[in-house]
Amino acid sequence: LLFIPIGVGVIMHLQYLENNTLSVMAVILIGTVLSLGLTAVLFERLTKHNDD
Amino acid sequence: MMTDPSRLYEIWVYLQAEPLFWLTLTIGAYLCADFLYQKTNLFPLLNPVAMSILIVSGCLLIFDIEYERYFSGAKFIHFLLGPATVALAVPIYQNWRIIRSESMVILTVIILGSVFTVLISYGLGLLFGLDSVTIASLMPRSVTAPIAMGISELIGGIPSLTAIITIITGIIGASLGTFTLDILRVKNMAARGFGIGLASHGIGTARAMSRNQTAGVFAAVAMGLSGIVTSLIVPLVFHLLF
Repeated sequence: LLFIPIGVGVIMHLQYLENNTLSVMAVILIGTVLSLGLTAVLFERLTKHNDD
Repeated sequence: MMTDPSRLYEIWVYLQAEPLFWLTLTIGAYLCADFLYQKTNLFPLLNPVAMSILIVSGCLLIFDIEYERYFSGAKFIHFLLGPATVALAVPIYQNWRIIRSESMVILTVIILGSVFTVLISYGLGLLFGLDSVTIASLMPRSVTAPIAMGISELIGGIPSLTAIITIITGIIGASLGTFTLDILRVKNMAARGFGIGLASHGIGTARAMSRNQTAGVFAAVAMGLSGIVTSLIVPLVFHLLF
């Protein structure tokens, strides 16, 4: 709920976003999946190593 | 008491002139969005915050209302963000025993994971030909919105753009996280939670929490600690690279 006022502020940048929306979405999508996967794999490897 | 219909109009005018109207619009939009979210069994794409932003933005655009006018009322909600950010330390405190027992692994993964997340945003941003302001708004996106907006402002990004980006990041992590981790065959629940919490903050953590207790706790720990680490490394990385 607390983020709504500031989030609505994005309408001030609509013009600007129009040209960039796809690229920004691509960065978010690829970046999130990669960092989520890498972090989980790293954590699993390290904890396994600890158990040996 | 009798109510004269013409008086109702006066109340409307009064409300519209006052900040209270924007406050009501914001809370009303949130209540509608949350109702929809609950009805669809917490479907990640219908995230109530994202939906509320869409509803309120739509209203402002349709009725041609300036953002500053809206914000004059909505700022009362915005100001609550400060105390709410402090409350983020609570999950770290609650899970302090877990953090201490696995401190080396947790610390290593938090630092490497956060650095990687920030660099990947920067790298992909360059690859897609985005300008430095947009990249600055993208870099802190994996941490919880109030912290991300603070970092964004500090390095010359657009805080409101960061807020949207952060929420979308959370939604992607919450909806694609399980799928991604299944493909990578990560079976350890702690590791799964940790990845989701680090990459997709509160929205991902809430999802992990609803699936598995262990995953949820580790997601909360990762989310809290990565918020701290990211706020330290983003300004550093940004000033080194730009």
